Amino acid sequence: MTLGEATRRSAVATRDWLAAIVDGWDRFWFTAAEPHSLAAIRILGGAMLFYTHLVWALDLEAFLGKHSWVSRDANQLLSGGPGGGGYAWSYLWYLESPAALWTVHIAAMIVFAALTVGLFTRVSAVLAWIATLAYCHRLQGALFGLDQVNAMLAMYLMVGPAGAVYSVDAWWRGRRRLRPTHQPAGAASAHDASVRPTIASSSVSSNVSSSVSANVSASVSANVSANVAIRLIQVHLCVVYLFGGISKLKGTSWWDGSAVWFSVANYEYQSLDMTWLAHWPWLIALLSHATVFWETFYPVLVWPRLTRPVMLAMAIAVHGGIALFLGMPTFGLAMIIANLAFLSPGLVEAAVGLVAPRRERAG
Amino acid sequence: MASLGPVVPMAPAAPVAPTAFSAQVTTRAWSRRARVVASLLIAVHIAAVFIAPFTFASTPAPGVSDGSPAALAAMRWFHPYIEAMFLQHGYAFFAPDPGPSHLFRVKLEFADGRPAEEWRFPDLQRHRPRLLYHRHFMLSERLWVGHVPSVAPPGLSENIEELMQWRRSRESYETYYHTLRDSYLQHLIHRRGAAKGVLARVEHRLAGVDEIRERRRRLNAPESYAIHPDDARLFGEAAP
Repeated sequence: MTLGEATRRSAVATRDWLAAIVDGWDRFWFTAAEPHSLAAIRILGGAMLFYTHLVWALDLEAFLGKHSWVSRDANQLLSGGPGGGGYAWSYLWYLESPAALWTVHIAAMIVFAALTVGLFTRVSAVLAWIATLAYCHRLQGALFGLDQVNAMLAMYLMVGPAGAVYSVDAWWRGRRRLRPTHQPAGAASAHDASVRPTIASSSVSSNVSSSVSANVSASVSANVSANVAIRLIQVHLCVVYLFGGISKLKGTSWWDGSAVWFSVANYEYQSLDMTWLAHWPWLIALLSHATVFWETFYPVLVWPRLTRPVMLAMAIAVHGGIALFLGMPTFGLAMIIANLAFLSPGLVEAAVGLVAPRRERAG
Repeated sequence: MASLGPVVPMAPAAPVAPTAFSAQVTTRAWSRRARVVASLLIAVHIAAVFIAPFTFASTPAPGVSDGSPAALAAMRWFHPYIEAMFLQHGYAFFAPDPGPSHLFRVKLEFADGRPAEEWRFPDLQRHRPRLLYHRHFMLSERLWVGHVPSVAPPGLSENIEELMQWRRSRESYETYYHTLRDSYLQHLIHRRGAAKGVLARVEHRLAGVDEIRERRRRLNAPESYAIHPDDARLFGEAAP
């Protein structure tokens, strides 16, 4: 082989490799996906946002009022850590009177409720994200992992069509479309021109006229933005676990196997007495090591179909344990909700079908 | 059959003619321009999501050094976005090691003849539901973030640069702590209608396996709570 031939082959191989990267990126982010997983995250994540802010309401003025725990000056110091840059803006800084605070708080609660049930979802998702950020920026000092997950989910729920299914919006859309129309069959809208066949399950009753059927088709669309939203949650979650694992590798207790003991033996955290574990040191060590390995390798092993169920089962076990034993049921549940991003829309649809059979199935 | 597969892969969606099954799912592809713009936005966002915990992980304990210059340079570029989007997290849950709990003790005195009140935060009995308790717990933990002890570690005085670094970190922590402490105190004084008050940091030492198994120590044994040496005099206790 001549030098020129070798150079040409190298150039072709490099070009093919770069093309494969671009193609892989394109497929990863811009393949259309059905919105069922995103909708499930919307319902559960929205409910968590609602509950989180309901609890703020129990002592609203103590956290947000003029004489709050963390004053506005102290809050601005905390926003970016000592010497914060002042980019963490919140409209709550400018509200001090109880009437104003309660007004915006109730408005936020309505927004979170609307997001949960999927009412005006496109708008309520954006408003929910703005409100979530405002509370997080104002309440520095009282925040923990729950708020990080809440903000993450709120951010990505507004990227995709989170209200396309399992929502008041979808129900309302369906009702409007089920009204008989005089549109001739085959005269579908431009939107319907790109209809493609997929899963066989249908939300449309078989005895509905074909023109109605064509209209309903737009209600569940495989959407690129649904995929982008889910992918963003997945990648963000992998970053969370990667650094959760890496930061544990810097400690000694995760290596000598005592870390889980020092987690469950923390009186201020514990919600169930787990001191019986003191008689099972090998179990403590096993749980400690399993946690580190699972967390560190989650970003890799959650992608292959073969290992994904194991990673998700571990996520339920670890976060369920945090929820039950470490006094953070909200944080544990929020992490499990975020992990729903790794369930296929088909599985979510099947699971929802089991819990809430469709009307035609019941009929 | 439903599976645990990735998000349903569909080929870049070329329009397909309606069929008998077309009632369920429709799809529309994005134009090349839309994908390029979205790719840039996604890349910037994912970089920001990564850089925040990376900077946190590559920064050693306060007072030791500034941390990785590469991470700090990246953070300088992304800081406005990271802060505005509430992404400035390390995700170091129970890491590097699960440590002791940090609480605080407060004594309030009244001008109207009421006896002085003394509380410890957080309080499982008073703060319910659990999430509200955890909010108060985080407030008390926050007083210890970036904690730098008042006495320099042994051996530090031999290196003037390290000593100066430690001193800067100590001053930074002091400013931070005093701002927060004063804010908490003002809140409690106003809420209870007190004339004045003092606040002290308290550390709750964790019990080892042997202490529980052999000596049957309770997790909330009084001797496991220690007041911060800098604050001991506020409650008439001798600094250790």
